[in-house]
Parts: sequence; structure tokens; C-alpha cells
Amino acid sequence: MLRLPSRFKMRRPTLLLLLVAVLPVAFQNCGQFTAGDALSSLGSRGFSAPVAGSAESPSLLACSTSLNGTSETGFRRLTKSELVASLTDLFGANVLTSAAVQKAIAQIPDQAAPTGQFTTFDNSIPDVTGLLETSQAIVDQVFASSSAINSTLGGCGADEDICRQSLVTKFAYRAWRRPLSTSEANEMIGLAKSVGGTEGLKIGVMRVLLSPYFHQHVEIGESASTETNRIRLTQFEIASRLSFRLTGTLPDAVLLGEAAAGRLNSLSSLDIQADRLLQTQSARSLWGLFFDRWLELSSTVDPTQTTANEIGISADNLKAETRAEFLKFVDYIIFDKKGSFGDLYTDTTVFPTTDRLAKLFGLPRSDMAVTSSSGFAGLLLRPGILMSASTDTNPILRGIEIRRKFLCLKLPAPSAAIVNERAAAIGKFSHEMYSSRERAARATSEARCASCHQQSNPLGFSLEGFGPLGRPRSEESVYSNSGAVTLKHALDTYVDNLNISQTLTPSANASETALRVSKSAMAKECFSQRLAEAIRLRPLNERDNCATNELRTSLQSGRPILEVLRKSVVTDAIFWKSTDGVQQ
Amino acid sequence: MKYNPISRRMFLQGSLGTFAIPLLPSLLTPHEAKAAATALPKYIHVNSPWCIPREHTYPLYLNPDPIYPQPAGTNPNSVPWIVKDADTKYQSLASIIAFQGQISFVLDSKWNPFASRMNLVTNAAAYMADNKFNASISACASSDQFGTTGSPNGNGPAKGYAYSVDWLLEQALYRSTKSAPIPTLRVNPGNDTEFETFSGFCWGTFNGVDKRIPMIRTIAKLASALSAAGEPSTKNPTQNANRLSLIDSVLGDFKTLMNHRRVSAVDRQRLSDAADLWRNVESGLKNGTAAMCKAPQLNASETNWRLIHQMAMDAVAYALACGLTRNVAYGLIQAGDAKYDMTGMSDSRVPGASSPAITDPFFSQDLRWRSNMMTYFLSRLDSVSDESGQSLLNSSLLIWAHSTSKGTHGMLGHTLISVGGANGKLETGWHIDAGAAPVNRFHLTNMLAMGLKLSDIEKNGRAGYGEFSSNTILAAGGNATGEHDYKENDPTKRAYDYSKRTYFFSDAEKRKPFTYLKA
Repeated sequence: MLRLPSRFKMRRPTLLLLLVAVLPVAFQNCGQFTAGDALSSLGSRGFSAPVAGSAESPSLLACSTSLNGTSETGFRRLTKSELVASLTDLFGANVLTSAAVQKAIAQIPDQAAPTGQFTTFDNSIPDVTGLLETSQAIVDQVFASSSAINSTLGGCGADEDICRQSLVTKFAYRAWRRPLSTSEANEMIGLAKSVGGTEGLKIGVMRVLLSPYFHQHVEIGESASTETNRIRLTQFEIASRLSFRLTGTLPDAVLLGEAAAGRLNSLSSLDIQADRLLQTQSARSLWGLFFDRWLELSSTVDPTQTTANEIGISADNLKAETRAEFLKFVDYIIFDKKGSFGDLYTDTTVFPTTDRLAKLFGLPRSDMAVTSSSGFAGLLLRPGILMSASTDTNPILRGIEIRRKFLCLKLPAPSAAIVNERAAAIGKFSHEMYSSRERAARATSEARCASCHQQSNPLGFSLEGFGPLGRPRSEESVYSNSGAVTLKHALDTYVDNLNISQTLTPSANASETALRVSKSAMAKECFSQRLAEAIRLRPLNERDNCATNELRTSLQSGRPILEVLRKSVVTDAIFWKSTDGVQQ
Repeated sequence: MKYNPISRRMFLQGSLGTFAIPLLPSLLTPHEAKAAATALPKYIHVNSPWCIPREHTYPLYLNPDPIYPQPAGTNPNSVPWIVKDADTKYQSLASIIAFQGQISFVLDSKWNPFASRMNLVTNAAAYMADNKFNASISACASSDQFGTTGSPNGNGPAKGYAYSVDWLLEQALYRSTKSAPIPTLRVNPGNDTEFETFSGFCWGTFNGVDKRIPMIRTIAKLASALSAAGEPSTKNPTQNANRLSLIDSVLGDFKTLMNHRRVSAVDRQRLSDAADLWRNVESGLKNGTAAMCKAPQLNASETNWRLIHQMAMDAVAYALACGLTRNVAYGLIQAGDAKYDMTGMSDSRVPGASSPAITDPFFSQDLRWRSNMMTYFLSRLDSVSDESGQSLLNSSLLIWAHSTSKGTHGMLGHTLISVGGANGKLETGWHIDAGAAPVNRFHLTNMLAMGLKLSDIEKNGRAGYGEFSSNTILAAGGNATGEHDYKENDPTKRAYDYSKRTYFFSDAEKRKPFTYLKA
């Protein structure tokens, strides 16, 4: 068998960490290499640029009103989270959380991209056996109790005929988000009747759940409202779009009532409903999920036990607590504080809801929102984003990741040859001699590396005031293999240019960087793009430009994020679908 | 010589329990559903540590070592070659068997029944960063001395290349369809410790972090996993009848929508795909085959490695046939009924370095033992039916790959075997001299045959699959130079051709499958 010789079994964390750091180093084709040595990004200690400066305006895209309402070209299947939320609405949490149902649901894949992007959604119609087994498990659970039957079918009691009527007029109406046609109702009742008894009702409920009218966003439109390139949706289809896009689940009774009354005809009437829907727990869940996926919180890592020892806590699964804390913050800013985009980046509220989080934030444990004065702020300066699984920070990766996630800027992949070469040369940048910033700067100082790294490194350097635990620090500790601090480096967080705008954007420290990012057009454009993609689960195209512009303008105005969310959904396009591929 | 495999009936009646015709047409992707009459392809990747040296697997080897019976005058050209492209040339396995009665020393006559459904790829090269600790070459096309997490979890792929074939398949196969109860069945019978001597098999990259994926090491845990996955449901006739009515009714909705003039062509196609899936379920219910799936009995106290593997292989066949999974990673690391591995095998047992007798245990026992386990496995897969009623082996793609090409951690001259053809996606029945093409190409070909797209395979902006390391690192690795010493023993005088390395490193070459992949 293959065995490692003892010489290779030595732990060499320093070298390995440097290798990790240099892997993404050697980018190519990053555009013009500006004058000056990349080492200049080491900064000038002691100088702090003024933070003042007007916010930049996001650019607006070419908007052709003739294309408005033509961007939705087909059905979309319910995402798994939409499916689960809808089933929960229909049957209640108790049914959905039963072991048998959970096991069946686990067979249905989550086709949404798990992290980062929202444009790779696989829209193929989901497997059918997973749906079949799930619907079977649900009806087995529901029909084990008469009260569950009644609550599902609207209190039909023991009368089978009434129950079958309820199946159509109440249950299917809610699940399909529209009244059934006479022929559909007759067919469904006939099926339940032919089987008979409770088993017939079970089959009837499964019939509803397995239909594409349930697990697809079916949008047919109104025949009388076809225009050259777009078809107006029915009132019920508009209600469904509004509800799923804002709350991730079925329209509620009020919204269906508005649709039935034909009152969903104007943006103002939709605004009223949207504001109401955004007050629901479903909306909070949906938008928490958006942030979780956008910022890839599932990638949050545990710190090393060595760094966790600094504050006397266990590192084990700390990532779960920091992730939850992050989502509490987002929820608070959007729904409780009704904060703006700027608040998302600069608000200093934290949630030290566990003993470990309390120590991490340096605050007493509390179940309430608490204001921190130690430097934690916004989306960026939180443990959930900055914590690393190493005893060192990695400013290179931090810079790259922040650009990618918060600014939607990707750098090209590194050349393997250069990576190998740099990896071979990197041993001389000892952590005992150099700080993490200095090592990163030197490792990327060659012109072929610097052309890209000067785009990303400054962001990482400016965050060096936050250590590997994701909490503020005043100096950088170097650890021995045994976990003891052997020496400390002074911190240098100043950078000449964060490279997040057309103009020079210096930053003295992490707080200033967060502020700069919050004011940058890039960050707003990135947020609006991710938001628009998340709602549509597809890449944006020119037909979405008008709606995207509305979003960008709304963000620039400094209005509450809650309004931005509403604005992201309630636009003129919500009334229409495209005629692409339709037989005219 | 005609091999008489165990009949299906005998197998179904075997002591290890009743096997199943698969119940569920599960795991269908919409595209695959278009071919509902045929079965879904299944993947089985068997990895073994060490190697089966080229001298033992290359058919018609000019100077086989150890010497084994060949017709007088045998040489590599005794069976005509067909040149397929600039790199590869093919020989018919049937012709080879007709000439010498078997494929090669290791691939003896027990393999003959599978010759028409297999490909034997020889002379593939692993252009990897390090050639000392390369157990992951056979699954990740990558190698690194530390492994992705550093010692002690060594023998893993180089950083950035932790995308083993089984893991990529798992990510892609179930994306547009439901995950199987066991998305990937990873079995590696052996000591149930965190770090075992063979640890390079299953690596994935989770949220950017390379990680070894746990494998099932014991029969007890295998039994537990199968039990947790649940036997395919066995609905009673009444329930089946009700479900048939239900599906008819649901299909009515699909039909209504597909015929609606305001539904787009794209949506009509999607609906049509889904309707196919429903009809497949309907077909399964009508056939009433559910009750036939029954898990084999597994004896957790067994200590004989041959019997342990036979149980595990039976269990794999059951899981595949009954829809519990369609993706298997399997470790075959033992070397005898009571021999845990090949420990003690001298590196000097490299052909050319010495001439050990054919009675040497490495040749006469260890390799043969593993070869016999493989033919047992193939027989089992061939003895049960897939969902279309054909041999499960026919809709499967079974890979047997090794960590090195010879005892001294060789990187050049790899032997790779595929059997089954993924339901007709591969031309089979060939010995393919790969002409020093990368082992990566073999894995790429297999994944494409399984229906993956390049976008499913390529990671981190790199073309093709796996690692393509620079000259400098490979040359410094140790054995590269040594490989050249044996060139004179090369039957074709074309292997170990370093000069082609840069040629194989172009993006176009990295994305090129072997020509036996059907268009």
C-alpha cells in the first residue's frame, strides 16, 4: 500500500497556508497594469483619507418600453423551497415535519443553485416519483387524523360528498391558485368518487399535488389581451407571481379574493398587497434565504481552535451560530429597522444570542439586538463573512471574495504554471518576518500577478483590522505549531485605492471600506442584479433593463430595502408574459 | 472456451436472497426519459491500489513478464491494428481471444464472456504533479503528496482537483431529477478507521473546501445503509390500480396544457418530457414488479475477504437494479481471502528490474484474486435485469482503475478497463492503445458517456478533467526518468512518449474523448 514516508508526515502549516494563499494569485488578463509597484499597496501608515464623498449613482441601462413585459417566456417550476413552503401552507408544519414526509421530500432535488448565483436554475420538470412519494406520505399523514382531514379540506366533516366538493372548491383552489373549470372539477370529483371513501379523498388530494398546476408556475394569460409581443396574465396568475416573488409561497386568501374580484389591475393595487405580504413571516424567510444564497453563507467555516482559544470558546460548529447571527441582522435591518442599503453595510447592530457569540462580540449575552461599538458593522464586518479556518487571515482571498460576492466582479482564473512557480518561491516570505499583508503583497508583487491583484488585494488589506476569528484586532498574532503566540506584527490597514470606483478610493480601515462599498455604484448594481436574478431565477437580458433600472434608482434614493424589494417585483412587467414560442 | 455465467434464475434463487427486477423508473432525467424504453445508465467505479502492470494486461505482449503461455511467435501485431486517430489504435478483443485464448495474463479466460462489452485501454499516462503518492489518480486524475488536507489524510488529489468522478456524477446525475435514496453508494470493505491505507478514492469539493467523502467500510454499515434507504415499496394491487387512475388523471392535465395555444414551444417540450416520466411510472406499476426487489442477506460477522466482497458486490447489484442508486464507488483493496492488502510486495517486482517467477504470490495470487473478484462482480451485474429487462451490466458502465501503472508508483503506461458501455454509449470490444494519452481522457470519456456535459466536469476555469501538470514538477517527481528505462520492452515502441505532453495539454486535447465514445 502507499504510505507516506515520515518526512512527508510533518505538519507544515506555514507552507500550506502560503500555498493556499498563492493559488489564486497568478491571474492573467486583468486589464491594464497601472504604474507602480504592487508593493506600494502596502500603504502609507498613519494617513487617513477623509470619508466624505457623495454616493455614486449606479448606471442605467438602455430601457426600451416596447420590450417591457416580454422577459418572461415560459413556465418555471416551483423551487424546492417554494414547494415546501406551499405544502406547509396547505397542510401545516406538523404534517410537513413528520419523519415520513421529510424522508419523501428529501428525494426531491433542490434544483436552485445552492450558493452564489441564481441563474443556473434547472427548470426541467421535477422527477415524478419524488413527487408521488411525497404526496403519498402527506396524505397518509393527513388522513390518519379526522381533524387533519377537516383542516385540509375545509371542515367538510364526515360527509364524503361535501368533502369532495371541498377538495375542489377549497383545497384545489388554493393549491392551483385559481378556481377549477367545470370539467376539471367534475373530473376530480369523479376520480375521488370512483375510488370511494377516504382512499378516494386521498387520491383526490394527490391528484391536486401531482398536477403541473400545482408544481409549476403555469401562466397561460388572457386570450383577449394578446398584444404583438406580450400576453397579459390573468388576475390569478398575477396574484401568484406577486405572492411567490415576495413570499416564496402560495397566495393567501386575501390575495386570491382580490384576484377573484378583479382588483389586481394597477400597480397601486399591487403595492397595497405587496406591502401586506412583506409583513409576513414567509417574506422574512424568503429574503433571508436570498441573502444566505447570495453571500454563500453555507460556505462559512469554523475558525481554528487555536484562534478560538483567544476568547476561550470552542470552535466546533461556531459557523452555524455566526451564520444564524448574520441572518438575524439582515432580518432586523430589512423588516424591523426598515433600513436602507447603506444600513445594510454600516449598521452596528449585533445579536449576541449565544454564549459564544457574546464572547465573540465582546458583549453580554442577549436575545435582543445590541449596538456594538467595537467595529462590527453591516454585512461585511461580521464573523459570518470574515471568519477563516486558519490562524492567519488571508487578505488575498478576502479581497477576491468580497469583489466577487458584494461587487459582482470576477477575476480570471490563475495560470497553473505561474501558481506553481510562485508556490515554489513563496517559502522565503516567512510569517515570522512578515505580516499577512506583507506576505500577500510580496507574493503578488510581480507585474504578471499584480495586474489583477492590485484590483483585489487592497480590499483584503483594508480588512486586516479583523482577525481570523472575524473580530476586530489591534495587532496580528503569529502562532507556533503548539498554538502559542510567538510574536506579533503591527497592523497596516491603509490602502491608496480600493478599486471599487472610477475614481481613487482610499481607505484607512475596515469601517471606512464598508462605508465606501455601501456608497459605491458597483455594490448597488451588484445587489440589484442579484436581486433581479433571484426573483427570476434566470440570467437577465435586455428585456429586463427597465425593471433593473427601477431597482437601481430605488437603491440610489436611499429608500428602505423593504421598498426596494417591493419595487423589484411590482413593476409593469408583472402583468405580462412574452409571446415567444406561442402559437398566435 | 465458452464461459457459462450463472443463470438469472439461479442467481435469483441464490443463498444471498432474492434479487429484483427494478421497480422504479426512478432517477430519470427528462432527456433520458425520451428513451424510456431503454434503461438509465449506471456507473460503478472500482478502484484498486497498486497496479496491474502493463506487462500483465497488454494483450500479445512481446516479452511478457512473467512468461505465460502464448502461441509461438506472438507479437503485438499478431492481431491487426486499426488506427483511429493520431494518438490511438485499436485491436479487436475477440480477435485477441481467438488468437491466444484470453486477453492477457491478468485478464484471463474468465473475462472472455465480457470481451464484447468491454474496452481495455492501455498505455495511458498520468501527467500529475507528484508521482509518489498518487492513489487518487484512478478516481480524480490528480495526485499530491499531502492530499488536499495534508498529512495524515494523504494520498488525495492535488489542491483544486478534488473532483472525483463519482462525486461529479453525483452532482450532475441528480440535478434535474430526484436524488436516489442513496445518491452514491460508496463501499470500500476494510478496516473501519478514519485513515486507511487506501484513502484516495472519493474526494469532493464542498463550498470550496476539498474533502474526502466517507465510504462504507463494513458489511454491518452497508446493511444499515441499504435498510435506511428502504426497500422499494411493494404496493398492493388495489393501491396500484388507484395510482394508475391517478396518473391517468394527471396526464390529462399535461395533455391539456401541451395542447394550449398560448403555451410556448419550450414549455410544451418540458411538459412532454415530464409526461414521459409519468408514463414510465405507469408502466412500472402495470408490470407489477415492485414486490420482486428484496435486499440480499448480509452477514456482518464474515471475515473472509472474498466472501465479504461477494456480499458487498451482491448488495451493489441489488441497489442498482432496484433503483436505490445509479452511482457506485467501490474499493477493492484486499489481495486474498485473508490478505488485507499487498503489503510486502517489493517495488523491485517491476518487470525489467527483476524477473520474479510466475509462482511469485503477486502474480499467482494477488492479482488473480482481484481479477477473479472483478469477474464475480461482472457476473452478478450480468445476472440481474435492469428496468428495461436487459442485463444490468449492459446499462452500466463499470470502471476498474488503479492508482499507479506499476509497483514503483509509475505514472506512465496505465491500464484502464471499462465494461458495459453505459447503455450503448460506447463502442466496445476493443483493446485501445492510448498512445500516452492522459488518463484524464479515460475519465472524461466515461463521464460524457454517462450524459454529463463539459460544464458539469470542468472546474475552476480549467479545460477538461483533472490535473495536467507541468514538465518541471513531473520530472522532479522521481520515477519519470525511470520509466524510460523500460522503453525497450515496449511492445509498440510508442508508449512513454514524453514529447507528446505539451500536445496533450492544449484545451482542445483536454476536452477530447476517446474515439470509442459514440457521437
